[in-house]
Amino acid sequence: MTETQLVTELKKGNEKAFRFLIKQYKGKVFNTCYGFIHNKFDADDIAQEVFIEIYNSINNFKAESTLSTWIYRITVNKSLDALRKQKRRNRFNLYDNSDKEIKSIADSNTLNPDEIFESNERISILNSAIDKLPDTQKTTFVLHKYEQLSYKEIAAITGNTLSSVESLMHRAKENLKKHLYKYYRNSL
Amino acid sequence: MNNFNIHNEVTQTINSLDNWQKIEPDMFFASRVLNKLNQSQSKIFHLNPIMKAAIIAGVLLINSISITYYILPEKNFETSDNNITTMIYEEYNINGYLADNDLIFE
Repeated sequence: MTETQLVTELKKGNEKAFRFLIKQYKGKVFNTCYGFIHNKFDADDIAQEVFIEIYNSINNFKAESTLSTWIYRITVNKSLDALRKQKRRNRFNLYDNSDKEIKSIADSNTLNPDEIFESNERISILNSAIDKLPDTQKTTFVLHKYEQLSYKEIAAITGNTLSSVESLMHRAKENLKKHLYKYYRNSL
Repeated sequence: MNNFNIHNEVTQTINSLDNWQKIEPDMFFASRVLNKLNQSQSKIFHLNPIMKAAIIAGVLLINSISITYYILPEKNFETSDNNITTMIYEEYNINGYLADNDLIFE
């Protein structure tokens, strides 16, 4: 099935086409959500919401970009929304850790048993640092590192120019270094 | 940890996602999406067309009855000053707002 045929069938409300779309894109959507959220259960929830949004707004898809770009855009927006909601919830949390060091966040929120078992502590520490980046830098870094997208593809998704994507990536790395130096110095 | 080691750790941590193995949801993901989609849609959209038509006809019938018997007759009421005064007085009195000796309508 070509992309045009798939979109046409989706616009007709064809359930088989929708199942096909899920099969084709569930990996990309789920992996991207995980890049932002760093938690499999929450990433699963957000990925489900992404597909519901695709189903409900497929008529708004004008084929000005590829279907894949459009889906990534929805995924990024949903993930950032979820992060904002999470932050709002944390504001009302008595045990808010926002001002503490990366390690405390890494230990309490992002190190799940699987990750400890797989010795992925470095990725957990990096994820905690990614959480501290501004949304634009975070989006660029996650799409490039987790989804291995090229700068050109990221530019199409975010609506930025190629040079701004390069600049965002550079600034993201610099900011991550700052957070990580601080973390490793404090762990002396 | 000395400065050299810190620098090494930072570099390795930043590059730790370079060989990221993409993760996928489990095999029941599509079913969960479809269940959630069905839940999110209003139940009226699941009714068959005959039921939908019957519900709409019922609502229209109730509306037309209320317009014919309750709203239009009040509009046709004779609107002389005396009738309005009597009507207001009776309504207030029924609700117990006015005592018999109130003089506001004199």
